[in-house]
Amino acid sequence: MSATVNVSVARKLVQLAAFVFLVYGSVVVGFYTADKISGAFPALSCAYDFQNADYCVLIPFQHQMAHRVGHAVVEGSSLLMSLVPVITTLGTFLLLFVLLNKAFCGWICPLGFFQEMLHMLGQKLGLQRVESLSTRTVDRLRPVKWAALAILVFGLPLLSGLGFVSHDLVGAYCNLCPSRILTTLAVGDTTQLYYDGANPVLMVWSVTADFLFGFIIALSLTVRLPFCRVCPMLALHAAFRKLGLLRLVKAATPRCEKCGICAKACPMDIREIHTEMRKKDVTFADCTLCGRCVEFCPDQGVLSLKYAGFPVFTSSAEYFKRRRKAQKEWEQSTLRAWWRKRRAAPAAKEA
Amino acid sequence: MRYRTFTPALLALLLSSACLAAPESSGFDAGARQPKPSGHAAHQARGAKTLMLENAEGASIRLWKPDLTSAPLAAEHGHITLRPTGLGNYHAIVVEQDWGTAKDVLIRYEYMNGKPSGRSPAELTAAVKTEFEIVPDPLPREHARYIAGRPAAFLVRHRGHPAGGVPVTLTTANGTTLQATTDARGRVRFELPDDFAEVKPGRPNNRPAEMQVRSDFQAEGRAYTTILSAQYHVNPRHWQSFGGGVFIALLGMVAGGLTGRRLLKGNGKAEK
Repeated sequence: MSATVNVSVARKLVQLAAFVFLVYGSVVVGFYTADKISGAFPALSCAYDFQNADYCVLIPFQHQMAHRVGHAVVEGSSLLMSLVPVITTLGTFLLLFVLLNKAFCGWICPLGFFQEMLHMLGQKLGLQRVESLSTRTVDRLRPVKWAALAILVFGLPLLSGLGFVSHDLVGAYCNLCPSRILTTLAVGDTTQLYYDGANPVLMVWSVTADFLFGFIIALSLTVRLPFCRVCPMLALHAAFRKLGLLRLVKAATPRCEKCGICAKACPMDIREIHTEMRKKDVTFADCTLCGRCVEFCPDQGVLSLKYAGFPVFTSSAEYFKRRRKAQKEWEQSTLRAWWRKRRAAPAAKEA
Repeated sequence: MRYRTFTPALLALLLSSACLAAPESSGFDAGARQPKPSGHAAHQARGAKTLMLENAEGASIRLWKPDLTSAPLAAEHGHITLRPTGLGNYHAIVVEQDWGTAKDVLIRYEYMNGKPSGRSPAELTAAVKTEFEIVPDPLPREHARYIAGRPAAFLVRHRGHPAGGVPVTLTTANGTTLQATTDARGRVRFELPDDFAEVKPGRPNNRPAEMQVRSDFQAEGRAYTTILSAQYHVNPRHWQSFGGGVFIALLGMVAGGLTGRRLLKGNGKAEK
């Protein structure tokens, strides 16, 4: 197998196609909101990008919390009726979500693809990269995505609708999201990268958003998927992952205890893929169903991606050997290595 | 017998919001007689909207809904009241004054909240609503708006066909007039003037102003004058800084690089 034929490469191609479609897809689906695919897409396809194909589900959630639920409470109108659009949005999200489950993160999300491209750039530049984050760091980061979902997507917008906090916090998450800045810049729109001095809330939010965007860019060069680890979309996916048709399944063997390559291969540092010995469904909360653990599992049939119970990709010793060789070649091929080789060639000739 | 009583200058006032020049004290917003909203009005305006209509005695007024059905509207005491139609998205108000040898038309697109119609605003703009028509190309996307200093394009059509080489004038309530001519596809593009005299930091602190896109056309022995009216808003770049944003992002990059190095040292697990 050459370096260009494996699941990781196929995934990159799917990610690239998804990026192009989601960021520039208005030429296909149409310009107006009414033209978009669902209005509740399970990946960070940003509504601020005026050329996009769909809207991320987090934007309607925030606005419905503020303008429907919050206002219903303040006005004393029917809370149940105010929840109808929220339920409709959730239903739309779930209709799409069940099809690919958390693979919307690992295969479709534009921001995930951007971070992976940056990490690839870091590797090609020969930067020393963090293989895996420490257990302590991973454990500290894990609750952040739940807090982001609860506070930024639901809490602050609701409090804004209730009148307890500034109206500028209706889009509390969107105003921080790096995908908003990334996708708008990708279509040549610079209006979303700004410092806003209109009031203290907007000032704090704009500074945090810009800083976070820069922080993620630099960190992605050396650390795998830094923003995905704290993304509220990951938490939303985690909450409904049992409904998805695509799953990561493990048939543990005693050899698993000594191995652990799967956990090292995981870009989200999910050590439980290695340590879990009883559960079959190992689609953990942080999993993005990228399939890298399956690729790097050296044992036949231990890990597999199954769709509605049918295996679509299963680990094997043969695939592992070829994949490891391909990875080694890929890792060795860096600009630094190329430069060294170029400088060494004339010297060797002279000698 | 009716006479063409209004001049083009008066026609320009036919359908406009009560806050034409955006006075702080008017207490109206979004072309509608509603209390000043605390936030972005487009999300909250679920009730009726009232639009001013002057010098339209005997005019035919129709409301086009997002599903392309239309119904007559009546003007009362110089105002049109747009009651919720149950359908969400853009509606078009078309006021036609037929003088026999001449026809004056005023068109305005208003966003109304309601149940999703399932129809694209592209269908509403594509529908032929009058003989000589000025159509936003495109309309500001739902919940978006025309912004000063940014481009806006319009299509000029006669009986649904592009009208090329037709002069078009854009006039704002803040006193700017721009002129352009449609291309072969009937399209004309303006950069909306950034002409607000007083700008305060923050979007809710600035009222929109009215603008009118007007074109005159002669065909089949008739003179047409059509005006598209809309609101445009202050450009947030007056209180937002792109350079500041870039600088902060660069600081973030430095912090990200340092954090990466720290993680590398702390972990002791690195790959080259």
